[in-house]
Amino acid sequence: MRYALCRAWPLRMAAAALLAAGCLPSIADLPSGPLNSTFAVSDFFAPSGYMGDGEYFGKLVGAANEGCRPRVGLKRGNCYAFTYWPNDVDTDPWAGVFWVFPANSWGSTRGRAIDISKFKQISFWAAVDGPSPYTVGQNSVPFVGQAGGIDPKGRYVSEGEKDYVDGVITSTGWNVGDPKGITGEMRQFHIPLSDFQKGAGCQDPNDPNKGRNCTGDETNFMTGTAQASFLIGAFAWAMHYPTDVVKCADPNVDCHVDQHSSMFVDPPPVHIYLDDIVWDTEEAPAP
Amino acid sequence: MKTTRLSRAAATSIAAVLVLAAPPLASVARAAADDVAPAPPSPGPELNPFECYGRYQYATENRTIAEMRHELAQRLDWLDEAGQPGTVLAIKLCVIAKLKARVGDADAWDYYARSLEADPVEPGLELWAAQYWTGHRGVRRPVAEPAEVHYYAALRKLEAIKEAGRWKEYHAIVEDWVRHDLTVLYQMDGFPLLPFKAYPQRSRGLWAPGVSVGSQLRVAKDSRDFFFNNEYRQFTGEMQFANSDIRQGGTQFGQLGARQKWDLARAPLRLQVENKLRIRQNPLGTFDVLHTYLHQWDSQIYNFYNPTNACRIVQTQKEPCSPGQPAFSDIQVQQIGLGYERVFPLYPLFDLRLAGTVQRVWRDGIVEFHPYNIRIANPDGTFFVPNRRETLNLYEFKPSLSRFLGADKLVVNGVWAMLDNPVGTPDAPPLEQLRRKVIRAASFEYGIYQPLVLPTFEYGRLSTYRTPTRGLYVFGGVMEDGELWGTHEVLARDFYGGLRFEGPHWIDWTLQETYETTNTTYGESDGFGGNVYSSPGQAFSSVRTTFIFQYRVRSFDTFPGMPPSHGGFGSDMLNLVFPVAWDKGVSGPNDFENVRAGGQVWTKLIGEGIGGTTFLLTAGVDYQYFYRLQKGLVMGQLAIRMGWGDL
Repeated sequence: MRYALCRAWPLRMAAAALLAAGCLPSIADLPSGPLNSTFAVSDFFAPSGYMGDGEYFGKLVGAANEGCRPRVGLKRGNCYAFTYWPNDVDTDPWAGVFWVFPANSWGSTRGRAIDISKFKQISFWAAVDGPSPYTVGQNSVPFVGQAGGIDPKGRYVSEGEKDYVDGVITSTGWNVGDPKGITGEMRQFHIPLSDFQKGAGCQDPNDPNKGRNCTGDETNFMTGTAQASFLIGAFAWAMHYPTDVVKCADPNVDCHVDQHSSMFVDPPPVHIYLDDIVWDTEEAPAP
Repeated sequence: MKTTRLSRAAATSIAAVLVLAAPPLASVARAAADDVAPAPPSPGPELNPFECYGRYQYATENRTIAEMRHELAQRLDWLDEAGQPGTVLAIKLCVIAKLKARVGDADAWDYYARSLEADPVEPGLELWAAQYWTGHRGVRRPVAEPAEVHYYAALRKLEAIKEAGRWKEYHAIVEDWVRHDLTVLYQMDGFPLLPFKAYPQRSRGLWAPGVSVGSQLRVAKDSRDFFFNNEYRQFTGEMQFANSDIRQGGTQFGQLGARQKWDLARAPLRLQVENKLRIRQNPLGTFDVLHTYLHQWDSQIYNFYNPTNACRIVQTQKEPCSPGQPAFSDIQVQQIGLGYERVFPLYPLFDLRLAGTVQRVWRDGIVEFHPYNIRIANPDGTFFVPNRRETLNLYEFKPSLSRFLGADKLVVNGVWAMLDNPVGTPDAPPLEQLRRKVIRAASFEYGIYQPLVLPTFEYGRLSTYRTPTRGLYVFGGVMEDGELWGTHEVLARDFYGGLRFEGPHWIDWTLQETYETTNTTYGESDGFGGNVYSSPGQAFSSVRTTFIFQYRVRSFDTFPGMPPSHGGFGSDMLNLVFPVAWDKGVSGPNDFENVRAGGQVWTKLIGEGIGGTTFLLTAGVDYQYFYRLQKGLVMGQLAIRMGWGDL
């Protein structure tokens, strides 16, 4: 009998494995603890925050790990290729994407826990392929990289909930097409993270309409020593469409100024490539 | 495109093998059929086997089960009379066997077997023995393999009788009933590619493989899909998700407007083709190669930030929309796989049916923001197609068991199905990548087969009479459909119960009550702990009351033999069905409460000239009214089935 039972253990294991496989995996006991070492943004944050013309379906199209522009160096997280066409409903043509946690959150929840004191910069590789000259009203157009800065501005408070605001905000711009800025060739860019920026978005902990978003108490908030304790938007890019290059449908109306995007004739697409978007505990190299 | 090529290639190869193999196999079968030896002499005077049938009818008719048991006890006492010829004893044993089967005795088969031993010559006794496996035993399906053994034995004995020159008129009826029963046994298989089991069947078809192709075409313009999903749940779930903070509800445009809700209640055009190549091999069971193609037009929400692509102006702000693009996108699903089923007679314990499939699934148009049929024009004249194809594995296991409890019968069914997406959502953060759906269900059906006392107005006033029926069924069950979206789990549960009455004459009815709940939970993945929370904004419940009235114009059991054939087809069944349903919200929003009523025609045709291929045709019209939205939908369905499965 004992022999038979011993012989049966593979059967029991198979049955147990079958039962386990027959259920949905548990969503309890997911990894805990704040982010405190260098991480790829795409490992925790989703590029779901399409902004500007990205809100018009099909005007900003993104793909992860497909159509990426090759480059050298470390490969951390996903690479991305975006294609951008201007809207055709006469609103200001610009677009951008936010990598947020959780996906599709604009500050309705508190974000991902982070020990922001450990981080020194956000780095990423990027290239932009677009029409030339890449200008609006003869002025250069910056490609803006940003970290933090999500602020619902009372949207959820008006629905009886709390607003969650990013405690951190930092951004840098690089002119598109400028050899010192962002071009069609993949280059690495750095957004430094100062102590001030790590707490620039902190909210008064006594404000009942705002979720706690920073370390410390009222004194820290008042003295400016509070720092973000969670992160909603880890990274974003945004840029304007180069309206100077498009032809206007009506020769009597200058569609390049004001908001006349519906008059653009066959506006060429802009391609944006991103890779290796990382929150880094190492200082950015000297410029 | 790849799947189409695959299925075509596979189908072509299989067809080629079958075409090449069929003629030699058929000639072997024909040659074998000609080798039947003349029947030996009967062990007594040759008796009409319908003696057994008639005596059984007389002993049961409108009697109670207790009275039937009394008849049975008497016949058991008369069994041991000395000096009776084998043919007489065989008829007595046959009547006892039929009575035992009727009252649910587990040893009924022993008496059928003794009857066949007592008279090994009479083909009709084999027919009654076979009908025990198709009419009494089985679970959701007849026990086909032992039934086949005896149906083909009947055919062999008929051929032997003919060879011996002792053919009687009643043998023609036995032959007709046997062939009809075999045709019904194979009715779900489809068109027979090989001749062995095709109508008119011959004795040597037993061990030969049955190879057939089945195909079902379904077209519907309906709010309900082909997978029995509840449209109240679908529309309410869609609305609540769109209303959530992480979709339109979280934007400055807020909750869905009245027109958006009105647009969500929809009845898209749906088309499904299900094909199967079935190999039936006694005693192994049936093996299927499966292919399914589904297309639904304008059915899927592809952007929950604006689920109906409405160009609204909310507080002077224009909601981002895409003029010229459809409100909903198409979806397409292709499936290829293998299936198996067989009923195993395990009495004195129970009958067990094992059925399962393993399938590969390709889905287009399901992933949000990746619509299937939308093409975005590039300035260079090319098009960008945002569709993202999902490749999934589908595993289904459907065990069932049944057992007689006295004259009644209990059937217990289980379902386990998993739709697994091995790749998940590869571009999402790792914790959000997993996609999996698991359905678990259990149900029971208790069939009351004892004669019932029913009301009648036949004598000008309300009176009662006792009559056998096709069964009064009490049923109930639970179903849990869990779907994992990364750290979120959507759990839908159904609890249902009801009554189904299949009357003695022409009227059947079903009354069912279903309580449905839908909840969403999510695991805390923000680094603050490992708790699981519910999303109250995504929870709701409802009840559905369903009443179905069915009138049998022509019942499948009207003709024990093949039905009269006109133009090569005989009508085996014609039913008029009138379903009525009411969805009522219990908790959560009730915007999609509705009533629905309709009429359907169900008919079954047997194509005698094409190997007994059986067709099931269904056509229906329904009207559904969402009274809180003041929206009515006129819907229609058409199904042509040549071979089918669970309906």
